[in-house]
Amino acid sequence: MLLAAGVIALLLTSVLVPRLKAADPRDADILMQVLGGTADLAAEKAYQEADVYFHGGIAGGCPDEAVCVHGAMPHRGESAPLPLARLVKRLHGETAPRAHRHLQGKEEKELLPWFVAAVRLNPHHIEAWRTGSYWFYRTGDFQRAEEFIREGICHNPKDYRLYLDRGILYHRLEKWEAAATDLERARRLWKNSSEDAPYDLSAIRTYLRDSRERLQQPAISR
Amino acid sequence: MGSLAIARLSIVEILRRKEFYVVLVLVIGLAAWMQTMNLGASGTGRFAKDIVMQVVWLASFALAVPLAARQIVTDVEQKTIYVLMSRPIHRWHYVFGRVGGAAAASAICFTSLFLVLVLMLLAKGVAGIADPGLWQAFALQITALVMICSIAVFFSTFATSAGTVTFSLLLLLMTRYGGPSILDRIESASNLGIFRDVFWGVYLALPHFEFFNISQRVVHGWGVLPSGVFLQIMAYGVAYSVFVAALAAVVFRRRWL
Repeated sequence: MLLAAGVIALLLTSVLVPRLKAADPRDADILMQVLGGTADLAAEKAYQEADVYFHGGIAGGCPDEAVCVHGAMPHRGESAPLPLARLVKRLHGETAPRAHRHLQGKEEKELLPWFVAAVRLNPHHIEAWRTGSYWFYRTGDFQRAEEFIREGICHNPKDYRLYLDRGILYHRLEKWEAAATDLERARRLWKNSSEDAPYDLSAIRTYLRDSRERLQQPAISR
Repeated sequence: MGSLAIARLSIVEILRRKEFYVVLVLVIGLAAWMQTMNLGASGTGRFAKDIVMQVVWLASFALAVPLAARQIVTDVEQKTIYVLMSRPIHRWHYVFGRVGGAAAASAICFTSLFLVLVLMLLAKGVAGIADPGLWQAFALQITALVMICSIAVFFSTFATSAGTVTFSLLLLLMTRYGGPSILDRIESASNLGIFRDVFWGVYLALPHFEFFNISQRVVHGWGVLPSGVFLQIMAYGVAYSVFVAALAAVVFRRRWL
């Protein structure tokens, strides 16, 4: 009992108290600051859960419906079949089906709470801001899509990807001037820091050129 | 008759303790929060249903395991067992009474928590109580609670209360969330030879709590579980519970008090 109390006290003093002291009381999410890495993990889980929802409860869907739904045994070399394995697999398949499917129409709104949860838990989860904004747009809530990515930019003002996505959003909404401004900002902030960065730069240039053409402005020099 | 009287004691005990009421208040609070919060899409029931359902299911296990684990241990520690054994009842009556009492008390707790979920679904106006899948999930969870109670009582016939809770929860979490992947691993381990068959035998002997978890089906609208499969799983749960309770009775009968 004393040992347990000692361990808890040590944890509190070594982990939580320094975090609590470092937390900025002006920030509304003090709890998140104190929770630290745990909140980041929860945010990642919430973000992945959106993908699970999109596939009707299955992470990434199932490539082989015969195996996943009907419990058919996949070919596994020369290993002998195990007794009752077929029955157990069938019960697994029936209780947790794994057929490939996507949410459609109004059902797609079911994804949105996970993106909101992810960014509340970790405001620096860039992919959650980007994907969430896209899905707000896709489900027809353009205003919320704009607000969502704007909030993301407030939390991450130096990340070019959010400006790129907001620029694309404005482009889709035919707000050419706003699109051009954001895309120009994205171009200035762009860094070759990931595998996708070159593709992002192509997208920035393409959308920026198109937005400027629509505004009847000269295209950027290549 | 002796078993029923002993079972009644377990139900009275859970209703006297505060844990259940604390969990109930927390679940009501969670459901109310889910009802009022705006997480990006008003009217989306799937998210709220999923979260509250998972919490209710896990909370019911969290209440059931310690309750069942302390049944026999507390009686032995407090010497109540001598008073009970002085009555004209067999030891297996006592063990089955403790399993039945813990299972009934857990079922009462779970039903109360489930009602909160049902009320939230009614308030949200989403497909809820009209969905037969939800009631299948309810019945399967009750059976799973009976199973975990009998397993916990079995462990408590030879282990301490803390050990019983640990073993039971490990079994529960391992099979409920890792059942299919364990099967895949054993199946693909053809180089293990005879050990593969041994592992397979152990795997089959484990309680398959994953069969009782159809929350994914219910939340994502995969439809009702085929009646044949549903009955197979229910029969498996009941048979497994009776077998483990009988095993607990055998161990307890040999125990020196």
